[in-house]
Amino acid sequence: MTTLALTINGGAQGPREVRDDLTMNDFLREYLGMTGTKFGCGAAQCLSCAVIVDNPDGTSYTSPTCIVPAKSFDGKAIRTVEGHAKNGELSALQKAFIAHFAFQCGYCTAGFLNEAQVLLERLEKTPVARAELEKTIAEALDGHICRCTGYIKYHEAVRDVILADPKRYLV
Amino acid sequence: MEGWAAGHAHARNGATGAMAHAFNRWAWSQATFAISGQAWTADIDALAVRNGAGKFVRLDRTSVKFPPTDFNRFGSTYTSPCGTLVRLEIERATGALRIAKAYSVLACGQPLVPEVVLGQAQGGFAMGVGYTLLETLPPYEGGPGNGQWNLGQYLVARGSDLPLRDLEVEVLPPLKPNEGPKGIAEVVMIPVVPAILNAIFDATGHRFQSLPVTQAMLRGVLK
Amino acid sequence: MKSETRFQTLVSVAALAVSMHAGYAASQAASNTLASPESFSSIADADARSAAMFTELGKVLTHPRCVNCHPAGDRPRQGDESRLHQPPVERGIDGHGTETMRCSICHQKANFEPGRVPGHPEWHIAPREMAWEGKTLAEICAQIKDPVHNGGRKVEDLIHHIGTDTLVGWAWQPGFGRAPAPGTQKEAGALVDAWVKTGAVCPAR
Repeated sequence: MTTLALTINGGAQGPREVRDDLTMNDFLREYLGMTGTKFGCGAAQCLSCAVIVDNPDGTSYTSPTCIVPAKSFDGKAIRTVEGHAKNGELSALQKAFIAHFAFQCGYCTAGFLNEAQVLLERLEKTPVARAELEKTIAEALDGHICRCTGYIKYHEAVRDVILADPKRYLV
Repeated sequence: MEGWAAGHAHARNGATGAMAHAFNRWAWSQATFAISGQAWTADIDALAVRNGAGKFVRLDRTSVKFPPTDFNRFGSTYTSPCGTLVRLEIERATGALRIAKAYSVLACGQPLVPEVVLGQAQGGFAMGVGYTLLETLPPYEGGPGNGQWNLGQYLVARGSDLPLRDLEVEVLPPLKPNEGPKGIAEVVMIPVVPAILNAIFDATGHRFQSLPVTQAMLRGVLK
Repeated sequence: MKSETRFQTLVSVAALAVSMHAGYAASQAASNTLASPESFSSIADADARSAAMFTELGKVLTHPRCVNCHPAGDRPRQGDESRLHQPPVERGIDGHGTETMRCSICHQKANFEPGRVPGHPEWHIAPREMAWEGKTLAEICAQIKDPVHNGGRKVEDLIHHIGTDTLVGWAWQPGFGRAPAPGTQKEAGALVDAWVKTGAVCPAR
């Protein structure tokens, strides 16, 4: 057993005792009932289980949760799909996903949303040229598998969020 | 807004509810009713209305037409056709294949949500690519029957396997104004497979007859 | 069928199945051992003896546990069948992954069995100059002796590296679903030691 205390979507979780062999995915879905994060392949190959991890230096990255122990998140700050909307207002990405009909069954969507959000925040810090945008989006999202949509509308939704505010994201 | 209208309807003893009965035998029954002195025809065969908080009262129909019993002999087939064109490039030295451009055309009658039809066509293209070039389920030892397979061995199409900006999908308009929706389901995947195989034949002169066609197999026929 | 006959048939079938399994396990174990340096003493020629010991060590060096992370390109391989690593990951600038997909995000400081993912504090892929994928044993031998290709090591340093380094040692305790490298790390270290002391001669092929 080990003690786990972390921040999820801005709120403190724990400290609580968890088994050493508990995966982060089980902790979120079974212990906290936060089922927005999905369990897909269980081998970090589909990334439907990915959450955002926020570093103290202001950078962020996405991490799978299916094969990572919950205790390795001790002391960390993470964001899940449940934390994107603020006061009932959907984020720009969420609205774009809906407007573009970007998802079908929704199982990969939380992962795509988290990855795209991290991409937006990265571009704010290090913008890219317009000519590099599609390639940048494609590289960022390629780790995520989707079986329903063929990816195109996801990419267009992310692109359009960026193009709606080019000064913020592009050189 | 709804609450305001309902409140007024109840207050003035106006129409607050309606019940209808319908019947279909490869065509809808049709009837005409007198509503507020006007003849109104619809694809139903019975109608009851309530006013205010009163009971539902059946309206007399002035005429009714039922589909003939002969129609029971009908079978119904809706055909939604789909065709695909693919342009691909194969690197001679390595057998690496890249889909440069693709075009799918389909007819589904009246699309009810066109964005979803388009999205399904895009997803179907991805599945066709996976089926032709990536996905494999070999029998016996070493195959998925050994209980150890996951998405590392069963490769499905990722974004990098697809022409994300070069896939054009054309949905043809309905043949007649009242054609109705026909559905598309997985038809959008089917022509992708022979399109890719025919393009590979066009490029290499070789007809592959087992799937998936891997990079190693392409390298083998490019010598 | 009489119940007695049926029971006897069942027992003999079970016994056959068990013995077949034991036979399979035994043959597996035989190819998974490493010969000791002493077992090569019958080879009279010193150079041939040295090369033979490296060939034996080659059972470790060409094993998937090692070659998977000594790839020729920028993508590691995975599993006993050495297919491309899924999810698709790349070397990055420092061999520890790209900016958005660091190896350490998934690979923890030790194997995590509930996720069946291997781990070590230094999980990463070997530099390009240490690629072994697709190379013959003679090529790997020449490479492993060359300071330009072996991280500036003297041949003697290899004894410590192969014999005691813990990332190398992971190959013998790789976790569920991965065949361990042949023998033990100690036996491999003994072979390197004997190989170096007999002149570190490379095999012809």
